[in-house]
Amino acid sequence: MGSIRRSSLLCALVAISVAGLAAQAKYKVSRTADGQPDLQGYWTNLTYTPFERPKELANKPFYTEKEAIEAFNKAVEGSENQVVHYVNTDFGATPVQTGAKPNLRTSLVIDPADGRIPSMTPEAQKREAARIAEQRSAGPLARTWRDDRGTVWCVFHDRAVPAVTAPYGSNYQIVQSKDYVVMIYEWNSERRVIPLTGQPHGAVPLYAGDSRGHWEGDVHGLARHSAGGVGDTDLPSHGAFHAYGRRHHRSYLHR
Amino acid sequence: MRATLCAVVLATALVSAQTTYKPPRTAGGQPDLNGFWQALNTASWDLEAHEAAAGPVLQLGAAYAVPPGSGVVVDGPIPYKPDALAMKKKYAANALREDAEVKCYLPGVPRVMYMPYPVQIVQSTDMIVMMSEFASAIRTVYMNVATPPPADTWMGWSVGKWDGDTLVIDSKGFLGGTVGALDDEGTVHVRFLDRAGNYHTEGLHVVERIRRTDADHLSYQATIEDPNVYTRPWTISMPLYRRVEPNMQLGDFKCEEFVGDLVYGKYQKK
Repeated sequence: MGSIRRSSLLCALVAISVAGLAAQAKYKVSRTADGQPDLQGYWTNLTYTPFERPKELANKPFYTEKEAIEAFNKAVEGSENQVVHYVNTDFGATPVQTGAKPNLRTSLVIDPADGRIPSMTPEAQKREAARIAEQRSAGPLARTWRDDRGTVWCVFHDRAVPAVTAPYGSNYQIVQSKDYVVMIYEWNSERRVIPLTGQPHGAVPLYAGDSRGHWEGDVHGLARHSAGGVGDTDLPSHGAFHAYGRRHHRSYLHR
Repeated sequence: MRATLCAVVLATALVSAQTTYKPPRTAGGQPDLNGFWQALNTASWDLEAHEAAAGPVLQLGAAYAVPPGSGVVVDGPIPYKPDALAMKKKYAANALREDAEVKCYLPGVPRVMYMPYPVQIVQSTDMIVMMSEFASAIRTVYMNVATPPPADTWMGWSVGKWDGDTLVIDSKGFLGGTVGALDDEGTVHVRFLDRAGNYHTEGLHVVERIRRTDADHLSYQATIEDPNVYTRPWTISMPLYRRVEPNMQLGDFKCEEFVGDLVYGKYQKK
């Protein structure tokens, strides 16, 4: 696709995106047979918007439309010019293939106001430093599947909660009943079962955390990253287990 | 004589209750199959009638010995073609190497329904999700669609419809096996239906019939067809029992963690 043609397309996409923001405010969600907001369907969280905001944009949560197009173009070109060991248009690895659109936001992190993940605790910083030192001495590749249970070993989907874009296959399906919301991820065939029943958290930790959901109007209680609802997940409460998951999350962010 | 008569009366009453049972409905008006269900039999060891036997691992002694079972095949024996029966015996003798369960591959259908792990059903109007604890296996049943399987997969492609109060699921599009990523240790040549070596190929076609028989039981029936292996379709039948523990939820049984050394341990850097 030529650059002029692409720019025209992107202008159209941004216009749609901006118009979409206005429409969102008035949108009345459809309902399931149980009367709950219907979130069912196939979704993707592929995006060119960076997880953390670039430091030079610290006080700028939103681009102008022109800036958004420029940032989008730059990101598309970057993703198409990657040097990888596979055809990078396979697997839906390039977000534009699956309809990722320009977004006025400059980062996926919206709180704190600078769009950056808050500093780690001193204890976590020590763990992180030790991990990086170990990684430097061992080289960039995992030596064994045990070095990376998520991306290398595929024991679990380490970007399911919170939903962070996966290297490929960032697609998921939502199915609802009266008492449950089920999220099925393409990556690693992972799943997340969210009871809406108010039942207490289980005694045994789970890789994807032990989530509980409730409805607040039309906002699902767990959709805080996208809809601004109030979260009620138990992600941080299982000590070392989730510290393990967070370590991998950090390593992903540092790539 | 009196005891026999009582038994007959009781059995008749039970059958009558089952046939007249009207299951509760979802808000969409469909029979409500939501819940946690589990088989309580020895089908995962052997679908056919079998005596107790020593297990395949000497050191585990009685802990992993085979419990006896009267079988769940209603029109057995399983109608193998002569060549396929010979292969079944060969696979049974090499079950530890050939069985996908040992290597934590997804179990497929119908096996996932009678493994010794709970299956949670989450029922929507157009889709029904069935999730096993084993290997986090999931199958989605797409209701009233005519779409053919988009690709062969471990869990197959399941299409459902309601026949009165019975959920009828037609499944095909199954992978017949896989080759190992690094060497033959990861290979399975066929898909086992149980630990006894009963098997199918990519020619598998399964029609399941599932209905509530009372508050806490499902009647589960599956008709199995595979022209590569069997001379005719054949059927298994069993109850599935509701897990009634309060606050029941599926745990993680992500068995990849338990088989890495088994399958690829020799590649572990010492």
